[in-house]
Amino acid sequence: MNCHSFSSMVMDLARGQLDGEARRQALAHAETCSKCAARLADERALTAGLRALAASQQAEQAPVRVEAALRLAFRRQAAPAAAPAVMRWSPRWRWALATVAALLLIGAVWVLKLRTPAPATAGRGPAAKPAALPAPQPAPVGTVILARPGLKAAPARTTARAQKRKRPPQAGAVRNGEERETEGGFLPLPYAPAWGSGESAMVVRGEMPRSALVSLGLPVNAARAAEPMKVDLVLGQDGVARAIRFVRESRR
Amino acid sequence: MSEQNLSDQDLLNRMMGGDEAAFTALYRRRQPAVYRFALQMSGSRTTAEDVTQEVFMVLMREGRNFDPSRGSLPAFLYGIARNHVLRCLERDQLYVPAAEDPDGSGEEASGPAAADSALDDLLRNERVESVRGAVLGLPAHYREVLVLCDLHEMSYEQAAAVLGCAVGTVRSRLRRARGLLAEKLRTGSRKMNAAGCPI
Repeated sequence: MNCHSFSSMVMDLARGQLDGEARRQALAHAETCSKCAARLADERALTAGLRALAASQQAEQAPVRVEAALRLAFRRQAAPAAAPAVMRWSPRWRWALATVAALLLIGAVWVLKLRTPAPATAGRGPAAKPAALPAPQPAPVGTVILARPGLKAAPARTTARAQKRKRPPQAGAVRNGEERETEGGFLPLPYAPAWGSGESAMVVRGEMPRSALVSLGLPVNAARAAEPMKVDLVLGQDGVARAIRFVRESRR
Repeated sequence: MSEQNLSDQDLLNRMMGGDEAAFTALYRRRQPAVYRFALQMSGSRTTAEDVTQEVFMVLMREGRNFDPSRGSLPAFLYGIARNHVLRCLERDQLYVPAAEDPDGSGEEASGPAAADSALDDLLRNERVESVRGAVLGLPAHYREVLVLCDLHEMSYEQAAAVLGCAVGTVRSRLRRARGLLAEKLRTGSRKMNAAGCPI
């Protein structure tokens, strides 16, 4: 090692950043060169002075008021994050939600109305006058078909007559050309309210699990409780079911 | 889980999620070094307070932008502190070179006194003050590399990350800074004068 290479590493040597063979060679050179040895001594003194300065300031830190101010700022910054949840329920959103709900309700009513039996299309037989339901008693077979309020009465059809036709009669609600054959008549539902004077009725066809018959006060075959079944419900003006008829699909 | 056992990144993540305790823990862990750096660079406790507060305000706002793959959180904080300190130095002209005493009232060093423990302490304190004043008398771009490497014991690589320069640049600036510092100390030892110190 020469003085030139020594001068390039004396700083690292004095700061303790030099190790291994390079350190050994640099120290060996300093032992043989007074000028480089003096240089090394100056660097070591400077390093000691700087370390003493660092040690004297080791305990320095920001005063407590800085932390207090920062924590206050932190809370203020975090606080507005809760506001957006409230903003989501602004009047505009509420109106939009109400509109959607209203549209869904109208759609549901429209679908229900589509399911009511169509007026007579076969034109056979005299148009029957809308008839009131009989008193809450098991209806005899082949009776009681009510027309939808405001529409022409559906012709009376009996099961026996329907069975004679080659094509099943269009009784009750006819949907998309499906051919159905009703069996039995309407059964009045237990616990149903009495008919009001002049009250009109509506027949609605739907599908329900057999187990739902329990809620209507009717017996259910437990083995078939989960099976769906098509029914016609007679609803009063109050929307409460008064009678039920079971619809059996015929297959060709 | 105690915040003391969490890493800087974990504390930062919790802090960005609104956890004040995590922010407080991170602040208490890192503010001493930031404050000392600002103090050693500016020589002013007021400036050091302002810089420390600003550094952590920036962390609150920009913490999401911290990318651990680009460096450590301490280096990130040092970088912010450095930028603020340099702006303060330029704005307030806090760098006051150690001027000669025009009245000649400053004491002249007469060499090492007797080996007395109390006197040793006095001399040691005076020496520390001399070094501190000499560091503050360096140009800012030499001062900062000296503060980071010799007062904060950063490696060349760590300092290069804070300063945004090459490792070789850090080494050459440090060598030059120490040379200037040694010269100032030699000059100061011939004519002791602490009147130029900003504090």
